[in-house]
Parts: sequence; structure tokens; C-alpha cells
Amino acid sequence: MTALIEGLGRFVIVVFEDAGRTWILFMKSVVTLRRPPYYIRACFEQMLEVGVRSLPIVVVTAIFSGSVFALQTWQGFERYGTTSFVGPVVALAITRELVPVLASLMVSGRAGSAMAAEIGTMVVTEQVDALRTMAVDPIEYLVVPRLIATAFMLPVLVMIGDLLGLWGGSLVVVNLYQSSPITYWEGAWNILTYDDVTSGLIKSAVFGLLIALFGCQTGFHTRGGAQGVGRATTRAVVSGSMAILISNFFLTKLLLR
Amino acid sequence: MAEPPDFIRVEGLYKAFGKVEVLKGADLAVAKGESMVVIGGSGTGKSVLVKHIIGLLHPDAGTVSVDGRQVGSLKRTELSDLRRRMGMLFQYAALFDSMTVGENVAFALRRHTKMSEAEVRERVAEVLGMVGLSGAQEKWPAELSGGMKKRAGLARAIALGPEIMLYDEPTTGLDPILADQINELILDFRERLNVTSVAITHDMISAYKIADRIAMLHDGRIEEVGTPEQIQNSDNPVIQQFIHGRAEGPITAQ
Repeated sequence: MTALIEGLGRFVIVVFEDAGRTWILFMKSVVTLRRPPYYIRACFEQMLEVGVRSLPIVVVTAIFSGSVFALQTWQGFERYGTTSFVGPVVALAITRELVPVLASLMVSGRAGSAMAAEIGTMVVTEQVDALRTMAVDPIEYLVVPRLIATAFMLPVLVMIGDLLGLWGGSLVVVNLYQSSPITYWEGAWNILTYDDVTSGLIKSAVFGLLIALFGCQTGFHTRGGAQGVGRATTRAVVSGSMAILISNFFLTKLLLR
Repeated sequence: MAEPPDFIRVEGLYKAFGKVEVLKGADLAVAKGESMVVIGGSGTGKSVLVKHIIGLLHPDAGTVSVDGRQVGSLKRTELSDLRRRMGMLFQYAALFDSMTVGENVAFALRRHTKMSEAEVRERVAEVLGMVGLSGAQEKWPAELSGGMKKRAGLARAIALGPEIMLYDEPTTGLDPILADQINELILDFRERLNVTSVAITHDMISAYKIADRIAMLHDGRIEEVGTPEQIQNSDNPVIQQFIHGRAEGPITAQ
């Protein structure tokens, strides 16, 4: 029983520690933004890394999410004879929830873990200390470019994912159920408002920020060799994903009008 | 003879990590142009001491000052300016492994000088030549041997022409011949660039060769400071045990 309470206590401490460190890193990053130097090139390199190189997994995630969602809703709506609503429902789900959240989780697994591993290795091999001795602030040089790149590129990926998700849904509706593509696309197009799409994009920008923050933060707090880097990487993905899922609820509540 | 003003001064430095007290009131003074070598066993806090000099660590108590300015109380721009006058060689060189050797050496030049790209390239070639790595610009750190990494690290540290050099175990892990090459380089920088240096090592051959004075760190304090001759002839049992590498004596393995 005491072990259980101890375990629970430790978990609570770890969660708050993680959240606190991440918040501190965020504030420090914001402060450094007010003054030069700005590492523009590092920023573009990260955009390439996080954005362009994550495109394949986002493409697959979006197409299959759209497809399976169309499959499920068709099955359900057929019972009421309202399959014409499949297009609108898929469109809302894809743009508001599915693509922003699932794409972010995938990018967290891919890019957040890579950030933790890279920065963690730099910490344990004293490369971060070396940066400091050369009068370069690791937050300006390593963190800020990653934050900007991820917060900017994730909405771009989600925009592409939105279109591909809808297309994935149409594949099922048109090819599997032989329904009219016009009903599907018209339904989808007519229901979507500007806010549906932008709420997904705003959320994904915040998720991008969270991914990079947790990736960098766990990397900076790496202790002890290769094992430590492994732990940091796992923690980046677990904490980052949790942060995405939890903040998603509150952001959605905030953005719903 | 009047005492020369202390260029680097460490006073009553105390530092603990969690419950482990590493430094317990260390004092050290290094004159301008002097080569100070800090010796001491593994895990006695030698690295911790030098990391305080360049502001990588902050003292729990005590002060560290360089050129009359307290490192711990500097504003970020002032600390930045101070660091530009310093170079540090890390134990495992700490080269940026995502960059080539040339980019590593050019790193500080590109950020802290207004040199043109051609001037940067010229300076990189010059310092790589000084450490005997001419033409290694396009190599990746992973392709270098331990000795080459250290020399590349040295080239990077001296690129900006520092007044102060800090060496963290410059010869550890190298064979005796490579170790001596590094010693020669350190001596060479002192002659040519007139740098003030603090080196930490447990390699006594290296210590005798490069030191003007040697300071022995033991149990979180500086046990004794003296010229290599004074240290060799010291009747302090701690010093005698360490410099002769005996298992028996007042120093116990931790």
C-alpha cells in the first residue's frame, strides 16, 4: 500500500517537474527572442527536418484516418439511411480533430524524439558546454529554431493532411460504397467554415510548440551516457504526447464558438 | 619581488551536487601569462573547478574572478565578452559532430567576428596548421582518432586568439607520444600567443612539462601550490602519494 502511494507520489512529482521545466524553457526562449542573434539558417534546417521529412508519415496518417473514419460513419449512418451526411461529418472530424491530433502525435514520435536524442547527446558529450564557452547561448542556437520551425511547419503539414484526409474518405465512399463523389465533396465543402479549418491549424501550431519544447527540455536534462539519452527520448515522446492530448481538450473548448 | 596581480582568482569556492560536496573552500590564484596545472585524483572536482572559471557552473559559496571581474555576477553580455577571451579544450574534445572539422573551427569566428568568408577560411587553415591538422577541414569528427579530435578541439579553442586557455585533461587517453605532442602544442601557444592557462590533469609527466606552478586538489581544497620542483620535493604525504602513484597513503580511493 505504501509502495502504491509512493509510486503515485513520484509520478505526480515527475509530471509537475516536467511541466515546470518545460514552462521555464518556454519563458527563456521567449525572452531570447527580443534580442539578436537570430539563427535563421538553423531555423530553415529544422523546417526541413521537422516539416519536409515528416511529410511521408503525415500523408499516410491522414489518408488512412480519413478512410477509416468514412468507413465507420458510413456503417453507422446507413442504419438511419443518412449516408449523405458522411461527407460533412468526415470533413468536420478531419479538419477539427483527426488530422491535427494524429499528425501531431506522429510528428512528436518522429521529431520530438529526435530533438531529445540530439540535444541529449550534445549534453552528455559536453557539446552544449562547448557552445556556452564559445559565447553562444544554447537556447538561442538550439531551442528557438526548433520551436519556430515546429510551430510553423506543423500547421503546414496539417493543411496538406486535411486535403488528403478528405480524399482518403472519398476513396472509401466512392470506390467501396459506389456513392456519388459529388454528394461527398459538396457535403464536405458546404459544411466547412473558415473556423473549422483554422481551429485545427491553431491547435496544431500549439502542438508543434509543445513537441519541440518537450523534445528540447528532456534533451537538456539528460543525465548519464547512452542510457540517459534513451530515457530522455522516451520521456520526450510520452510527455509530449500527453501534453498534446490534454491541451487538445482545453484548446478545443476555447476555440469552439 | 612584488606579487604579480592575480589574473584568475578563486576564493573559498564551495560547490555541492545534491549531497555530494565536491569543492569545500578551494583557493587558487593564477598570474597573467602563467601556466597553472591543477592535479588531483579522479572525481576530486578538478573539472568542476575549471568550469567555474568560464562560468559553466555557479558557486554555492565563494567567488571566482577573472581579470578583476567576478564571473558569477556578470550580466549575460559581459559574460559573453569574457568568454570570447577564453578558450576551453574539453576532455573528449566536444567537437560538434553535426559539423565538419572546418565548420567546428570556424564556428566562433563566424559568430563573433566580422571576418569575410575568405578570411575565415584562411584563419581556419592557419590554426589547423598550428595543431598539425592541415587539410582536415572537410573531415567529420567521427572520422578522427582520439588524438586528432583533441587537436581539432584545440584548433577550435584558439581560433579567436584567446588570452586564457582552460584545458580539461588534455593528455588523458592518449598514447605517450601523442600526449607529448599535445604538451608541445600547449607550450607553443604559451610562447606564441602568451596565454594564461589553467590545465587539469592527473598525468604527472604532462604536469611537469607544461606547468609554471602546480596546485594539488585534495578533498575539495587546494592542498599545496608550488613550482614543479617544489611539488616534487614536498614533504606533504598527500602530494608524495599522488605524484608517485602509490596505493598506500593518506588518500583513499572513493
